[in-house]
Amino acid sequence: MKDIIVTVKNLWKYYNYMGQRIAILKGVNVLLYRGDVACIYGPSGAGKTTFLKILAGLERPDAGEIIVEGYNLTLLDDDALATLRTTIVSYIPQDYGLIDDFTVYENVELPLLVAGIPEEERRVILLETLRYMGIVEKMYTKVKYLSGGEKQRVAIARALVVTPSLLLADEPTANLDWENAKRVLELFTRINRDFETTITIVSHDARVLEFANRRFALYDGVLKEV
Amino acid sequence: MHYKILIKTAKYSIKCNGFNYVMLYAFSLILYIITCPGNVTLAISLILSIIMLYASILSDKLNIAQLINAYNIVGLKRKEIALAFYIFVNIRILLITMVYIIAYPNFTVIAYLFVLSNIFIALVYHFSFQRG
Ligand SMILES: Nc1ncnc2c1ncn2[C@@H]1O[C@H](COP(=O)(O)OP(=O)(O)O)[C@@H](O)[C@H]1O
Ligand SMILES: [Mg+2]
Repeated sequence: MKDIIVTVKNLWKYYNYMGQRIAILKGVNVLLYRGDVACIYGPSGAGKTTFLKILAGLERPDAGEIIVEGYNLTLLDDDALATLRTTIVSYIPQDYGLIDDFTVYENVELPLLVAGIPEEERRVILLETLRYMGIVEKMYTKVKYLSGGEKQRVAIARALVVTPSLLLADEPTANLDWENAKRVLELFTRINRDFETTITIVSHDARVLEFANRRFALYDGVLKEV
Repeated sequence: MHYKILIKTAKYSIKCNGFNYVMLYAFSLILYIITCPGNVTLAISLILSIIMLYASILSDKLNIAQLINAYNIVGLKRKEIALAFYIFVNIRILLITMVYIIAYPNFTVIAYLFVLSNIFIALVYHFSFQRG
């Protein structure tokens, strides 16, 4: 029996657009197993970011049920959702969501500070993660001086330090050339292998699909496994 | 919440551009209060201080949004993020408070500055930063 990590049942999400209620996600259903690398392909505006943010507890659905590692997200309050982000789920936004004026070290340290990890332990975890991501020599560089590929690595490192069971990446290759994109995708594959992290990547680039063992298409608010 | 995050936030406030404006303003304010003492000056200076704080927040709007967004992603709670913002602004209020301590050490005036600016800043936070 494979261990289920994400259950999404009949998920609906609406936005108000010029006074009208528009459905962005129309009854999405999905089951993810531990260790899956799921890739959701869909054109721009399909609702991929919205879906990931809901999984990360950053947005709330209008209807449906989402269970991550046994936690029913719809029943949790905002504080509990925030705590989930320091323990179980890590979200990597498309624009990385880093603080440009902080160093790599400071950015990656943030989740560990939130989780209340003591200083020496923080340092050990940080160095290990930065080494793993191949950015340890940049650790005292401010993020604003890094290249796109390096920023992406920092964002992944920040997501990884808390050893989440679910890693969510929004268009991780959108701002990179294909060589760098491939390297980042291989990195996700390696993270998946080394830590058994379940990974969900959304992308409008169909080439990303080949790196996944579960492939989905999101069109017009409907998710289908392909 | 870890105190280090608050210290980092305070340092960030000092490093951001808006802090320079507040510093320049603080110097002129000392001169203003010392050269034209009086109640009218004080009243005007209070209003100016709040406008200046607002301007400094506006000029750092993108930096603040980045900070709040990052804090949100790494799992800081709503109240903790609000507290971080409060610290960010109050470092600047503290600087202006020092002006009054130097130029016109009067408890009532300082209390007014503190209360008024914090009410104002709470409104700014509520309407421009809290929702993404
Ligand atoms: N906060 C919001 N308010 C209103 N409409 C939104 C909001 N966020 C996203 N949308 C709309 O929802 C649709 C899906 O957005 P998104 O999830 O970002 O798509 P994708 O990531 O697939 O490009 C888009 O048409 C977008 O304009
Ligand atoms: Mg998107």
